[in-house]
Amino acid sequence: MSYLPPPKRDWEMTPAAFGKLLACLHPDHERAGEEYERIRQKLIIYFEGRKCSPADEHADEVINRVARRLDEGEDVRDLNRYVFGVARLLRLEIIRQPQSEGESNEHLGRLMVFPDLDAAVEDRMDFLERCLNSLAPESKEMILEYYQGEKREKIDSRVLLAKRFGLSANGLKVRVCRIRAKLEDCIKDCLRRLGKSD
Amino acid sequence: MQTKTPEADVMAKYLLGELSDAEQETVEEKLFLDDDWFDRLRVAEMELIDRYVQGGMSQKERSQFERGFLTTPDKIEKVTNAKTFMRHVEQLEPARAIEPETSRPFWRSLASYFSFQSPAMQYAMAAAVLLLAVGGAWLVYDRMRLRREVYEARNQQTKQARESDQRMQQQRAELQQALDQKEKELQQQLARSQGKDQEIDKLKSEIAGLRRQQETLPLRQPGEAITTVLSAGPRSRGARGSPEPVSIYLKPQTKKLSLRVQLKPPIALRYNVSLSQEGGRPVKEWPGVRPRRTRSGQYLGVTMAASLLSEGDYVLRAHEAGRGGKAVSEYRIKVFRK
Repeated sequence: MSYLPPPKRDWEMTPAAFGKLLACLHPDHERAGEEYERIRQKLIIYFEGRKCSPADEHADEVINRVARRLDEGEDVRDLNRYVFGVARLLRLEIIRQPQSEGESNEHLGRLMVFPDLDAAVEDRMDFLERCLNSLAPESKEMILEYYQGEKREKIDSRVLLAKRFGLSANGLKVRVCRIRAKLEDCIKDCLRRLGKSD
Repeated sequence: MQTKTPEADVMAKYLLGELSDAEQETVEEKLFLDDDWFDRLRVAEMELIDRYVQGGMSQKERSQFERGFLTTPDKIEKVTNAKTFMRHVEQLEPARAIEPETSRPFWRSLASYFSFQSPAMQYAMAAAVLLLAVGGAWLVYDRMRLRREVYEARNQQTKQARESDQRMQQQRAELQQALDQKEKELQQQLARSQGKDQEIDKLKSEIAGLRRQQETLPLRQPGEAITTVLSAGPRSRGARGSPEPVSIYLKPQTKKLSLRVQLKPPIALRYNVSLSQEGGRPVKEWPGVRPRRTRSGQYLGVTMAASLLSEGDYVLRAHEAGRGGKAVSEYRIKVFRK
């Protein structure tokens, strides 16, 4: 596992560059925002898959670099492919970074022990409740019903749920997955704010 | 892992880090270029995490998951959030499970079952069915009310237990700090003077008093969990003289041990904390621990099963995560088993 910050930035995102990036993602501002989130999630999965942590910081660095290129006038035809290319280059840079003293990747991989989650779960219960209440009522209803019941009852209830929302079984799973991602972001945000305000 | 289609198999292998470099590259390309594939991969990841959290994996699958998937703090974060969510759903179940019972129209099927040709019989049966329906509805209602009451009482109890536990932990931490301070003073007095026996005796009796207070502090379940505060200062690395170890007394019924490491600025975002035996053998690691705040400052909190510790000497180390592993603090701990 690599636990290194992205290589030092010599350029910061500007509102103009961010605007160009969004325009390149979709002409409609709202859809562009969704596309931006999608690409960021892809990048996070990519860096997690390559065991480069913190994955979200690496993802942001890739987006920064792409925005910079667009701002400088680079003609990008297939943005997803371009982003993939930049991500691969960044990963190579991370691999080439010198490891800190006494911290070899192999060593960390072997020693890493899964921590006791119970304390962390207790801390998050209130945040989760708050985040669930911040969801649209339809989303809250969907995610809570999706996990109700056991075995056969659960399967039947999911079929009915999909029918009620006019979705296929897979479509329902994708929607639930997105709601879960929203909840995770919200909890992360709560934890971050707690760290700042306390 | 249990998988159904070749695609699901590839996704599971990707998530568990079991693909070759070339296969992984192919998957990554799909991830960026095929939006549907990306959605399906996220669903596969969610289902994998859910199976782990809900205990739906065999022992072999669990260890594969822990070795192959739980490799970064980000993924541990995902699992923690999933576990939090599942616990929330579990707590909701009793209240939700009773909802369908109220709407079940059982009296209809009962009435049709007993339908007779004779009108008198029909009236009599209808009356009986009505009586049964009213009685049944009342029973269902009463059962629902009772369940709700039990559920609410349980929630209340959990909340109170959590609050009182927090209060006691805080009290315990404060007592431990006072105890550390007195012990430090005692060491200084001993070093400074050989003749001030009275002062030393006074400090000793103060320490004994504090220990008694600490031991009489009630726990949620007596002796089940203990918290020890490791404050920065004379015990941290670089202090003059030989650092004194912190003594921890573990009773046979102690199941959990919480350690709090007091931090001094500058404080990093995350720390890697490890505990090893004095001599080297690692006991447990907590990667990417975020500092928590209290009125008295910031600290790192780690919890472990007491069964991991036998009587002996240990060293707890905290390193800044992601900054070249710079060591921040190091504490010697002496474990006694009663």
